[in-house]
Amino acid sequence: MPDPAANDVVGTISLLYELALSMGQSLDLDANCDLFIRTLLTRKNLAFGAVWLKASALKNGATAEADSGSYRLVYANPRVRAREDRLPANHPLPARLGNMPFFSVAANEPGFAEAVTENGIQGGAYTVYALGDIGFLKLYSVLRRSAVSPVEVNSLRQVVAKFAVSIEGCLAHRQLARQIEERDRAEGERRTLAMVVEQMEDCVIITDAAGVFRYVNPAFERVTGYAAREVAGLTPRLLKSGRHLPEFYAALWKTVSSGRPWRDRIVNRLKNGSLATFDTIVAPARDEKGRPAGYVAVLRDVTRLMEVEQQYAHAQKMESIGRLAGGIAHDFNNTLTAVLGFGSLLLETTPEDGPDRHAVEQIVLAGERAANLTRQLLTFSRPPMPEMRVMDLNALALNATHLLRRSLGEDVEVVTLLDEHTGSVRADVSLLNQIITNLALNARDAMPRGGRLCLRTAPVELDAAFCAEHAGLAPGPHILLSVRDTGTGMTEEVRRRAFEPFFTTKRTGKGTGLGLSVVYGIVRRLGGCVELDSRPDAGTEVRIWLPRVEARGDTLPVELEEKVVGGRETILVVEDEPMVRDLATRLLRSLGYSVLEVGGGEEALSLLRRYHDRLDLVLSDVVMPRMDGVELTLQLRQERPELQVLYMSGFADDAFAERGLNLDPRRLIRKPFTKETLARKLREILDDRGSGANA
Amino acid sequence: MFLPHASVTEILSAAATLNVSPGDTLMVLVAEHNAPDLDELRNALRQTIPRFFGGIFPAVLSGARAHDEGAVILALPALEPPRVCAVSARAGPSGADLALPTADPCTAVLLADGMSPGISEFLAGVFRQLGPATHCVGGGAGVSAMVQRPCVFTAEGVFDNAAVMAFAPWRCSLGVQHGMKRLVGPIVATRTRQNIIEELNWRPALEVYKAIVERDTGQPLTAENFYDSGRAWAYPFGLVREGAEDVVRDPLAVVDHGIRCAGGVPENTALHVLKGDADHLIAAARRAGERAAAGARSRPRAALICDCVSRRMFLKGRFAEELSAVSAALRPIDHLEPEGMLTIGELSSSGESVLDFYNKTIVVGLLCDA
Repeated sequence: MPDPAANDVVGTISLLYELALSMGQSLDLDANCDLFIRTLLTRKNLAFGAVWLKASALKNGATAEADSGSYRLVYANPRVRAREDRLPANHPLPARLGNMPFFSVAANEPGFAEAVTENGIQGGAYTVYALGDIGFLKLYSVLRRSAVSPVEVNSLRQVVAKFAVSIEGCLAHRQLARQIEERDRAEGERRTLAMVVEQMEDCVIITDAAGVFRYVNPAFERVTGYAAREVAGLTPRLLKSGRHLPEFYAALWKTVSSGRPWRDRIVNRLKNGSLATFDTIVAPARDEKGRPAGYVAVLRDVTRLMEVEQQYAHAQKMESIGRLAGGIAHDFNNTLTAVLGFGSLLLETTPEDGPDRHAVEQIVLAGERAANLTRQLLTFSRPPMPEMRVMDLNALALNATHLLRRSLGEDVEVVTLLDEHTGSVRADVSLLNQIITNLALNARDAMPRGGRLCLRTAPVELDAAFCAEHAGLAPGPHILLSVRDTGTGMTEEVRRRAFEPFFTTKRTGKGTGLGLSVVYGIVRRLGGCVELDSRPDAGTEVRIWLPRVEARGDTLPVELEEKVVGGRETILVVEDEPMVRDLATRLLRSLGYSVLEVGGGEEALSLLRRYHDRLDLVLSDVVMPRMDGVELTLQLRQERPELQVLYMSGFADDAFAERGLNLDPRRLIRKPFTKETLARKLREILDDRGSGANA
Repeated sequence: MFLPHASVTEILSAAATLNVSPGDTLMVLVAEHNAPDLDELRNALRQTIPRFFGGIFPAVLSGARAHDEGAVILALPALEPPRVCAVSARAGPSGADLALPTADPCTAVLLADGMSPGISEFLAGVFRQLGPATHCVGGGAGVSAMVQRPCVFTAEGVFDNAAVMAFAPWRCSLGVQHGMKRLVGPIVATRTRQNIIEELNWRPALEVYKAIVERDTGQPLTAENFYDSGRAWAYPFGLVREGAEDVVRDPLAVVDHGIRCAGGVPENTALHVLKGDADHLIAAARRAGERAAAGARSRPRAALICDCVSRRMFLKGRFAEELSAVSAALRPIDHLEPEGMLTIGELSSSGESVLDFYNKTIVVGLLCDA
């Protein structure tokens, strides 16, 4: 007959055995609790089990909750039964455990109601065990009608104590896992930071407190040319350029030594000897304990940026000079029109062997020289409205060099490297010719003992980065036109000012200082960009980029000279400047025309009414007080729609645009004009009347 | 409703007579003999009934009779469409993260692949989430040959290693009994692997078990005759549960020197080898019916019996007596005709205690109005 008591003991031992082995199988707190409490619930036929821990045992650091001594529910099975998940430190449950390590209380006993922190508790009994000093284990049986006997509760005491130790192990593991996670996170941040520093475009230098290099990033190596191993043991003095006074560096050290960051623009010398400008921040670095540990410097190479800024400033300056020159040129033009015109008339009537002949010739010559200067000045500031055609640049370059060969002299070898795929540009033939001529003649002057002039063309595709650094260009297909010589070259100072009008290094009388300025103005007008490279004794290269067009261009731009032809038609001259009006009248009459003259628009309209059908053409100034030439034309055409008009003006084309005037360049003659030019323009218009063309 | 023939057509026409509303769920229990193709049945049901679930079982029960052929269908009001949950074959809880409804009242009818090794862990996870307020009743699906195959279904598909669940806003009164008695024990399952006991008392499990069974029967027990001779399922294991009957685990087969059971056996748990007799088992079935009847507090709508297939094997010709005993116990209540199935393991949360997987047990669930 088996002994029931012995059977009970064996049963209890086997339960304790199972419970003891169910704990500690996982270092995860929830899994550890789950294995232990599920076994308890199943074997002891319990309805609920929960683990409560002190917030302080769960904490990562000091928190208000942890400091308060409160408890948190960390495991409940079934989960849905849990009503509370936090208990204050003074809750009756832990308070009661302060007096005894475990207790059991049934529904009909005092203290039961205070123990209820779950849903749906009706009857039954709680058994509560302290889990060391970190929390407590709470079990609930719905089947019990009375408290669990002390012996039975006591039978689980040791295994619950072991469970508490296993929980401490889980918490320690969790703490360790968090520390590892935190360390990994910090490591990750450090790796990210290092990656950023390694990959950033700015140079980064870290030195020790004595200023000796401890780290330089790849950007430093790339920009300065110094490898990290080369600078080991050295200081940033290695980069000194000699461009700053000792006081500059003293201020730097004074600032960082006082714990403040230093910011300024600094010029350094690179390994290849060239200079580069850096926006620089130097800051003192401190170690984890806040002690000075060295310095960190971040250097941004702004050399190229400064060049772009200088280009922009230069462009602005050229624009201002252009405006000034354009304004002056207009007034000169009126005066020169009179000087040249009257000079020409005087020359016609002065006998070739007369005593005044030489003086008159010199007047006309000086006037022509002045007119040429003024024209160039206008071309630089506001190049004339071009007659745009699609031009094969190679054909034009060949033609131009052919024409220039004699001017260049025999001791200048002309080399043309024209890429057959160069293509065409949309431009005015005369303007392109002027570019090549000006550059070629400059090159010749730079090679007094002869040399080689190389003219090169090539198709290029410009990207956004290139265009960002070259004002005036837009990304896309372009043509590069390069004119390079082997001449004396320029100093940096000369190079910087080369495009300024009237800036010249040639002897007095040898140059006007407008050649490159005119090139600059034309290129800008054509939507391109010009750049000049030169070093003393190393020659000069001027590179021009012009927008490339797909259409096939004309190959032989030729201008034909025409004979001077007069006429018998009646012409009304409208000009507010008496000298010019007088000159125009005389020239027209000398060409055989009948001439009427007035000083303004109102008079012109009045005259028209009187000579309605007798007028063939109106030669009018554009900019006049009260009524400008275009307004006058509009009103004249109300009376005589077929009436022809030729404008004369000393203003540049842009000046018309600023006044809202849209003029056909074919119906415009520029002051100062010659008799021949005036005659040709008049015949072009008068002979074209039959075609119905009108301004 | 019992259908003597479980063709797709008959199930569909019978379902039509139940007037299943769109908010209801149709439960379909199919007996394995002449059973329709479950995928075909599922596709056909999808055409007319949006919510359904079911499984294939060794037999279906109607009143006091077990039918190897036929089907039982039952319309349940539903809190939500039936769920399909994977029952992981790996160790560890697999049902703890399910977002299950927690209504009051709520009864979960649960059909699971009875051959799935992870079923005990799955149910532990479900219980931790649902708690005792939701009563669970159901059983393991499968076929009497005890080979695993897709055996449970919903509109979504036919599955193995899965459980299908329907939640009804009903109360459930449960009776759970088996009637087996302890023969030898306690013995400690010193090494287990889910549903395989590898060691008992630190010795090869088969060696220990064989000695016990052979001593009691006087007949040899080998790996070959382990299941077919009926000796193994006559001597199941009982997992100790304080204040209640042991939870039975039927031995099914020999695996190396271990024993594969119908349901998980926790490592280091104490168990007994049980033995039963027909009278005790039939008496237990009656008690299960009586307890379910006694617990009913409102009008019963259905009586669901989940009776272990191994009980029929054990009781043989007297199995009908067991069903009669249950029917008799329930008859005072609205003359309900109990219906259900023979199961490969039974599922029940038996009142306030944990949801567990049983073998050789009869579960009687009275599904009552809220």
